[in-house]
Amino acid sequence: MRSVALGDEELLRRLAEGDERALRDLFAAYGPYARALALRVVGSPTLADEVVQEAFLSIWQHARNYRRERGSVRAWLFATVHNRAVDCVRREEAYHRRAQDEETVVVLDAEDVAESVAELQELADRRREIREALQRLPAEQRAVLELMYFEGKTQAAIAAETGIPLGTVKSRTLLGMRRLRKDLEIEP
Amino acid sequence: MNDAPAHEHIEELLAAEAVGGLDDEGRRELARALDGHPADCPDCARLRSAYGEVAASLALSLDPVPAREGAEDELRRRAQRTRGGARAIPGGGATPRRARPSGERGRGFGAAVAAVAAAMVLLAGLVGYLLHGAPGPETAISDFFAHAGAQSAQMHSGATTMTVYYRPGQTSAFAVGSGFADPPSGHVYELWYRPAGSTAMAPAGTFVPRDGSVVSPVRVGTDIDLLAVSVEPGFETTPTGPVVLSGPVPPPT
Repeated sequence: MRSVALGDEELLRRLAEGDERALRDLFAAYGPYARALALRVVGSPTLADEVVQEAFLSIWQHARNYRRERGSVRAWLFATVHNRAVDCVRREEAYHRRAQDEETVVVLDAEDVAESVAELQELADRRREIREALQRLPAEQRAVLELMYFEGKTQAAIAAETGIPLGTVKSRTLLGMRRLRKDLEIEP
Repeated sequence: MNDAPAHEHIEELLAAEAVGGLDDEGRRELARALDGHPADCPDCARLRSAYGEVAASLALSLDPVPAREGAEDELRRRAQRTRGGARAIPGGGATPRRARPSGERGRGFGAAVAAVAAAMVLLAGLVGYLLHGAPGPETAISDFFAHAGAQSAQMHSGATTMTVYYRPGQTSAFAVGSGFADPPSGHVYELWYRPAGSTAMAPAGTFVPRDGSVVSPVRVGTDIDLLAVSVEPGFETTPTGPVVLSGPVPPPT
């Protein structure tokens, strides 16, 4: 099994040189996660697929700009997907399309996924750790993080919609993120 | 001076930024906080990186969803076009032409010329694909027209024409165009459609013409009443740049 982190940096180096096989390899490794994230945020398969395509194209075009000290390749890729997905969902049209496509949203159970995605064991193990860490978070902290990351809501929007004071939303965000950072052993 | 309070505040903002929790005011607040801080502060850099990793972990917590069929091929084609297009575009680029108001749009003979031109470009595009040894697109196009109910809608302005071939009730479509100027450097053309009954345009796909022509798979709504093409800095979800073509979608025949 290849080391994901080191392998990713090698892929980025090849991408920067215009190696299309590297793009294919990156897409094979992270495309299913990127699609899951985009689908979760925008709710529309059509828009999610466009978000994923555009995110990978952006990485392809800007691979030379990657700097290891700013974070891992994976973090850069998912941030690109997430930013584009959130941009989408915050526009009125995305909401319109979400309703239009609601009936066609692909819902896969874990068994389907296990059969259809050739997932690197390292990533599968990491997912289990992350889920356990999320479950250990106090429910109110987890809820705030999920509303922001998966629903594309800002702290101000969460406060307005839930009636929770903005200061409380901010403190739950920080406490939740700190706890995840610690539990997942991500060093600052 | 004790820097801890400043870092505590910056950390709070960086953590929120990583998961998309900041609105415009929050982003300005973060910029102000960082402005009053050493630009190369290693602690801030480490915090931003660490919270980026935490956010990526949230993405990784989801069950992966297999890519849709053909997505990898589409990405490869678009990557080739992106690199190829970037090389082909001269530094200054050309100023895109604005579409004439719909009342000035040609009818009759003009539309017939556009249809013939579109068909010629389609043929040229198929030959081009064959020459490039990619068996997928021409198969997809022939499959597309093999189904009953294929419709087309045309837009034109001066020498610039685009015909969108679609099937009502389906989202797969093809755009065939000619007479396009190179987009300005770093820009692309984007095709838009308006779902029937809506007031907003939705994105159908981006393209960069080769020698003024384009044959490209696009995605449209299942029931559409208007098409347009604009110049954009990249994929956008609502039109932001100048519109170069627009036209109504005729009722299904």
